Amino acid sequence: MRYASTIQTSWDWRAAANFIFGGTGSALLAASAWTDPASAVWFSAVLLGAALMGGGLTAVWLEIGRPWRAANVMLKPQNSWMTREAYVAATAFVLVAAALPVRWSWLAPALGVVGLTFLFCQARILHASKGVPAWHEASLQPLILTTGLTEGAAMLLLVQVVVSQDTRVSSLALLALLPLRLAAWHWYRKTLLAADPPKQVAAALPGLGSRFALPGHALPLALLILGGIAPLIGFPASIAAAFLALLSGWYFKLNLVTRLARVQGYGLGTLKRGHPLARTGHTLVSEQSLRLRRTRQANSNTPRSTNA
Amino acid sequence: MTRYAMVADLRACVGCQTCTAACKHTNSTPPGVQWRKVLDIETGRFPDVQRIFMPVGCMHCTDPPCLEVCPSGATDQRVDGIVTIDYDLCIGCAYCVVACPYQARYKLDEPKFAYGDEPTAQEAQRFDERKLGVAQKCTFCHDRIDAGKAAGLIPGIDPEASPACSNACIAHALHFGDIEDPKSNVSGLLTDNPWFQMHDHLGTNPGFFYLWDESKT
Repeated sequence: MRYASTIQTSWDWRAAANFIFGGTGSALLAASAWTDPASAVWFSAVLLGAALMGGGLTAVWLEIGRPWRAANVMLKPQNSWMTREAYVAATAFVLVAAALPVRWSWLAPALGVVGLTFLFCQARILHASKGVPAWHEASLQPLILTTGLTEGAAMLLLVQVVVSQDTRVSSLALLALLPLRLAAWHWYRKTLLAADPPKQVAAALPGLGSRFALPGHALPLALLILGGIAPLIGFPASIAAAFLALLSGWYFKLNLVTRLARVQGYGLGTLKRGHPLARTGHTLVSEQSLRLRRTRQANSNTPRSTNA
Repeated sequence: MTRYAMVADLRACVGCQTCTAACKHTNSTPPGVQWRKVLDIETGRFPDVQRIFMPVGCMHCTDPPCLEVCPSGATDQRVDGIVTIDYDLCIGCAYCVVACPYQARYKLDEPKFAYGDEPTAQEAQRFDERKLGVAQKCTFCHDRIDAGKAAGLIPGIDPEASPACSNACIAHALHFGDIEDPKSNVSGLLTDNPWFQMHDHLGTNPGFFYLWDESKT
């Protein structure tokens, strides 16, 4: 039984913006690793990816209470995933800056790894939040990863559309990632419900699922398959599918940070006996305690009276 | 070694909120910020229901999730188990606030006073600008503990060396002491009574224990 499980108000849309834009931007860096580093697509994609990550981090910077101390975020890489995220972001910005004058071939895979690492950091940031059951749930991590990667593939497709490139590979990537994201969502929903979340969270999941699963997965998948069968509509269908995949991911993350973010609340725990530091091996349970336990066991055999 | 802990006897707590008032007076927390508060909850199913008054606040966990997530190192843990915040290091990201399973942390961005925009004499005297925009929480009154120990007093036994909330408790429901000392008041209570820790499945190992009755669960 939980008591007083309210929605957390410490992280609002600005924190959500970091997961939305940071997730999409970092996954775009990862997705663009498969494109030619000499091409305009790769250059445009990494610039956009870094800009999205920067936008997300700026939104978080606007939320923190002491923005002029923001550099202190770098002080605990040994334990905080937020610090690690900051270091990975800094690395991404340095590598993107390096790509401006020179297109070294190793930059594409290097940025791909950095992008994936940033996305992983975001998943771990949420998992480490033990105060919010919907974030601490372990199965959220694959969902954050697949959501980010789906958004990254969708964004890469849109970048390719803008610079008039072939979108077949990114369409195929989207076709493969959408079922993965759907499976991750169903697994998350199942495990979260099994973990007895706050009742308001459990009540919100079906509605969120219907808005996330159908327009965010079934529809773009149908459009991509239709585009593959009928090449005449393939181009507009893949653009529409990319927008749906992107916006549905953003919608999910906004809901995750705002609507699903109910705190643990308070509750009673499982009763234990004996000194907490001596519960294994030598026990410090006193004779008085043993007498009390025997008395209670004897009383528990007697039916309790209730008010008529 | 010393490991300070709080023991709350739920069978004795009457929900008078004197601990809450004592904490607010001692630490001068603004409206809406309650380092120590007492919940009024109901358990069981009708007609077999129980009303419980449950003091809550920072649990000073052995494995504090707030410490693990803090990116600046502002949250720290003393060797005696007390979890502290360095207000001059904290960036106010509130990651610790969402990581704490006990809703023990607060972040206030603007000054708040009990009666409108102007502070009372005590609020003006105790106002601490460093606490704005950063995380804050119960300190187990470690300044009192340190000063008391320096004067040769025993925390949990001598009021001058003990947290304000446990000093103020009218029902002897809140007890403070060293659980690593087998002869301490809290060790005795935990040895002789059934107890639980809140959200123990999260692996935080809180330094806040609740005494409760097996027949009432």
